[in-house]
Amino acid sequence: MFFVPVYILILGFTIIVDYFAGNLIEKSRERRRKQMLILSLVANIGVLAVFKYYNFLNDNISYLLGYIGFHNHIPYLSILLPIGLSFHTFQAMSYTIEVYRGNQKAEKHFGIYALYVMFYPQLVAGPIERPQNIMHQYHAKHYFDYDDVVSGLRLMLWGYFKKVVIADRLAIYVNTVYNHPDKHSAITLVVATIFFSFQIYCDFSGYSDIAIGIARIMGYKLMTNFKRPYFATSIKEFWSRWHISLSTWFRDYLYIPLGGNRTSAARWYFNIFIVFLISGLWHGASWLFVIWGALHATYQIAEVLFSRLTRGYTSGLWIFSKILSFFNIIITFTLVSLAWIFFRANSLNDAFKVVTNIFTWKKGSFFIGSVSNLFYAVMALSLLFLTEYIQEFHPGSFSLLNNKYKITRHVSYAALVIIILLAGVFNNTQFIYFQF
Amino acid sequence: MLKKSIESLLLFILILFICDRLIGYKLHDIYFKQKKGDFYQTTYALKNAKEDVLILGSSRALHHYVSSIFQNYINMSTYNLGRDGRNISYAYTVFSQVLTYHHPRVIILDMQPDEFSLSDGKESDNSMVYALLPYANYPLIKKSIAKENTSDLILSKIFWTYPYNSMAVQLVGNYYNLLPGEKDIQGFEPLKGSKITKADILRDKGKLKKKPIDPALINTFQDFLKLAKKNNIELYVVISPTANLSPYNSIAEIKKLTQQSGFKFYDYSTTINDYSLFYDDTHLNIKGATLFTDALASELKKNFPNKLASIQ
Repeated sequence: MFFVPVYILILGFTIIVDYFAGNLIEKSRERRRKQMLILSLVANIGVLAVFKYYNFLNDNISYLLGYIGFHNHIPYLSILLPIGLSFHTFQAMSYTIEVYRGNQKAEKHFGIYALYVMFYPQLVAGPIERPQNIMHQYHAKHYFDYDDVVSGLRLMLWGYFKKVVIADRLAIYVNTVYNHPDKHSAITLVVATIFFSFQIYCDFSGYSDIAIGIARIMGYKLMTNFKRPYFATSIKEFWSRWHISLSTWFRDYLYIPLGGNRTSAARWYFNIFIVFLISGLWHGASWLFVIWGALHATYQIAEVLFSRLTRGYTSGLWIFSKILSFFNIIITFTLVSLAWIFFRANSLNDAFKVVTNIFTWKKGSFFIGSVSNLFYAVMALSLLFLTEYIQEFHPGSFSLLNNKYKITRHVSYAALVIIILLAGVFNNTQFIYFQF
Repeated sequence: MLKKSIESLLLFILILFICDRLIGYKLHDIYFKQKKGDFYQTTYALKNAKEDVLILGSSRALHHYVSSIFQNYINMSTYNLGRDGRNISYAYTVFSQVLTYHHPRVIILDMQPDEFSLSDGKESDNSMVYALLPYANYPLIKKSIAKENTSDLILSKIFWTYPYNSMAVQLVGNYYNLLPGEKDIQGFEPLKGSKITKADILRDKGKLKKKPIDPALINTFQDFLKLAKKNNIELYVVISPTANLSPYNSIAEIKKLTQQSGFKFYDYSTTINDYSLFYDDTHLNIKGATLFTDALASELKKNFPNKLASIQ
């Protein structure tokens, strides 16, 4: 990661544009309101287009022109992607859209608006906040609150555990396998892919926990970003539990304006496809992310079609609902993990190699790597599973970190700190979602 | 509310302090009672390596130099102090510490072909720190760690468990003989079998990328050379065989600096083309290691007749 001070100007540019756009939208009437909104959206999307998608587009145009015998002379831009650009741009856009819709009053205080975009715990990787949830909190006075501080610290501790003990530990195995996918057997690739599913979950939800925890300590309540996504029983449910701030952003500002599901079936499927393709592109300017998005769109459409076909059959099977739920969780996890292959692979070629080697069941021995690394990873994953299982199926029944006995809580905090010290990976690994 | 906060904080600190001290003390105890493996090797290197010939370097040193072959050829006691995943920073710190209690006659330093590359070097710098944190009470090692990473040193002072980060499983496993593992032979750890084919090597050759050079690693190598010269030690710098030599390697730089300091340099990087002698693309298996050590020892023997006479 590099620090380029001049890039702060990009943030400054969008803040100034959206601050004035918000106020002008509020003051103006119909046509001018729309013009101001479009101006703000063009400015925000324009910044994204230049910094994130220009070279990708140029690459693809060059390829297409070359295919028909023309040479593209448009130069490439030697620029770095500013950290967290996609996150704060989307947050800024949600402000002007909400002001336009009349759900949010335009912010008169420039400093408060700048804080809305730049609030440091969630600046680089979300949660992508909505002005209705957070703006009024910036106006309120905050005092030291013991309960907020404790719950914030507890969230941070759990977030650090997920990041340095699970995500970074799993990354050691995943990177070794995914950097040379052609060298590994199907069973190794399957394990590495499952590990990546947990790596990316713990990496990103760990960051979210830390961000929400820091904000909570200061008295601010940010929105929940993850709700145990791997216990989802369908792809639709997965997206209501995974990166909630982004999926609801797309729902509110793209899917519903496109017509959502209140249209013809064909249009509905088209809407789903468009939303997931754009969601894929939001993650990165690469065909890998486009395929990842397309896969999720296909899953969702297939799920809709399947549920229509089986509606009559499944409704009466309530006795078997638990068994069915279990299988649905496994199927959903498998499909999500299959899509993660395209998210993680270093290239399209590598991604297809992984998929081919898994589906043709490439023979070979199981790669263990470091026994102790695998041991730490499996132990930490077991702890995560146990915790989330209790939270999901027996909420409030038992918790060490939230235990009613003070001494149990404090021993649990200390144990978690010791686990982090003994089993954490401290090699300055960045959060995966910082690149978006 | 303030009283409640302070009480809670103090209780947490007290519990953390007790847990950390108890676990840290036990791990420290187990660490220094190891009888095999990496941790035993490092303790041996820093306290007990009193052989005439010492071999230093990374995993390529550890798995490539059959100590007993040297001993037979040059008739001097030999020990291999190489360690997995370490680089010139680790070798330099170990060498400096050895000199505080022993004056070896010969040092063979195995350098990785891309020893000065940033990705292979800088990442491993921290691994030098992690490998030597349990010895942070040795003044010279403390100084070396502080030069690389002060925060690790501070953390290890605050938390007794921190120096044993990522080591607990291996420590307990080795101590109670729960983990399988080859025992070393005078420090040398043989690798058995072969995991690569010619096709693998040819495919990977196309993926080799140029990596930036880290000047700090070059400086450390120069410091190593100066230290050997200052202590009048017979130093041989060797690049052992590799199956996948990057065209962007540091060999020319290593050769130039070694020869400028008046030491002998041996480049064996491309001398073995039979891939069945490699365990993986960077490590020889026991057959390859025996062949290579034989060749190097017979070459080094030529340097010794006069020296041996003067020693005897």
